[in-house]
Amino acid sequence: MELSKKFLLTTSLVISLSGLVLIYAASLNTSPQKIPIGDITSDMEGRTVTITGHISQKRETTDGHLFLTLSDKKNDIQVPIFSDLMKGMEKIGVTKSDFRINNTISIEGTVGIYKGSLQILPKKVTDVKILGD
Amino acid sequence: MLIELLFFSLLGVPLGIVLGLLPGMHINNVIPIMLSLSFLVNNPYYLAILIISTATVQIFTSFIPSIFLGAPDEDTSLSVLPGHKMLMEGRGYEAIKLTIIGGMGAIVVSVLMTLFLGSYFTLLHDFLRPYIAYALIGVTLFMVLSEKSPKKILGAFVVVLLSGLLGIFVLNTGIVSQKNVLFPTLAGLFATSTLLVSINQKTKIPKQKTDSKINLDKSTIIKSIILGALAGMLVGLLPAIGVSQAAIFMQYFGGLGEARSFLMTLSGIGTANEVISLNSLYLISNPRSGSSVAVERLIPNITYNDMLLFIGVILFVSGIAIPIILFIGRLVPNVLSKINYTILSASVLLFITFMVFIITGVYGLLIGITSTAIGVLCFYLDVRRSNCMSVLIIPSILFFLGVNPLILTLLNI
Repeated sequence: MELSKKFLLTTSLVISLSGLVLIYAASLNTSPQKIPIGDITSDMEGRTVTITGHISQKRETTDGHLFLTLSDKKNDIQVPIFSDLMKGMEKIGVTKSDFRINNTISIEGTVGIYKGSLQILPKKVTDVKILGD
Repeated sequence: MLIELLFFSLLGVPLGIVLGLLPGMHINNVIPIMLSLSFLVNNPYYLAILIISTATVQIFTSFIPSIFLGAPDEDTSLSVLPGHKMLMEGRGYEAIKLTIIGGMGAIVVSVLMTLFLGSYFTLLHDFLRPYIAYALIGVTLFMVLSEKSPKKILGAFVVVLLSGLLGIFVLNTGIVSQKNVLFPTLAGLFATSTLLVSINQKTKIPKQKTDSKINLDKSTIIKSIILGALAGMLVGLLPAIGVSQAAIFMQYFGGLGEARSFLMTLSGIGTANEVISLNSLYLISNPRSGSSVAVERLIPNITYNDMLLFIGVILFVSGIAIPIILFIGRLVPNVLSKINYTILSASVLLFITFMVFIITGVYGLLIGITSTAIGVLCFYLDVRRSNCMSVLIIPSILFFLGVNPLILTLLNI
């Protein structure tokens, strides 16, 4: 028996909308795993995590990007904050000069690999939190 | 050393064929496993060659399940509909041949472009980047407004909106690893939705012709190959532009409305991207394909000679694999004609669902069900399925406009 076009149209629209609402709700309610920098491996590429550490190196580029190296005890990881995100942070009063060497910061982002090195890529303004000295 | 290079190049041929024939599988799913075996190989070049060889052969082979079973991987999803159309005309084997010609032709053109113009690619990258967002907005508007009636325009707008929202959510959420999230998303929009419609309509495959005829004139073949190579260059140079976005771009701006020329270009984009990504890796240390990311991990600073070696591997294994793939492509229709297509479609649907669950878990299933519903909706609204590609195009537009952080902060995801 072939199902009617009207039934399939209505069902698919309802499932599409419900699915989008559920995916959005799941995204809001899923907090990323808090993980020590040393425990991040290349197998975790693509996963969203939260890390905390102090800024051991800082580099600014002329096109507005900020590259941080975040360290905890023996391990470190790269954190690129690209110009679009930096501009968003500047709108809420956080500037590049607020990121000082030895500041402790918390970063939520996706694990990535660039030129063989692990990195955490924050995407939105609230992914970067300066916790203090 | 030459014997080892040949051995690892040739080993990639059966691996690429098996991987390409498995519905929904993509080289990116197995690269982590291949990299984890690096301790077994004492020279990183051998593993790099194996990955490049497997990736190249997989691109050609993956059109077989995509066209005959409606079960694509993330780069061949757009081939399902034109492939299915040709399958229903009894021309499934011709569709496979077109993807082979398009893919091989684009390899040759992109190798020539890389050898003679490769050093200018960085200039091209800098020139194109500021205009990409506007070009993508143009493509989206054209996709919607070129539907044939106001009712269909409204339908296309709904599909673009739903797909775009889905893209923004899934490409930025942590509920499924970003490495695998495209699998349930594109499989749902293009594969499982087509399979569900086929099952509901009890589709029967007509007898397939396996003659050597190609129903396309020479100039269209050349145009499709060149467009494939040019679009492959865009994918290989620019961030956030994948094979599917480039294919949609070429479909609307390159005048590739016909199924045959579109299939050739789509295949060409995939193979040209493999070549151009190696050039990007050499020139700007920025890999743009899954296999070139893996190569960069194995050999962090590739030289010009390395790039030539890898391009040589692509040409060599393509030459070896193509007759085998054509043989399989001729064999499959005979097997299919003896099988109940509804049962086959249901089996493939179950297999893809199972793979989605294994690779991406419960949340992957949720994404798969949602994207399948959007794909089915598109079918019954009677609007073009390419509107579903807004799942990637809308996030790309936000990325190139530089408003992604703002949108994500507003959505709090």
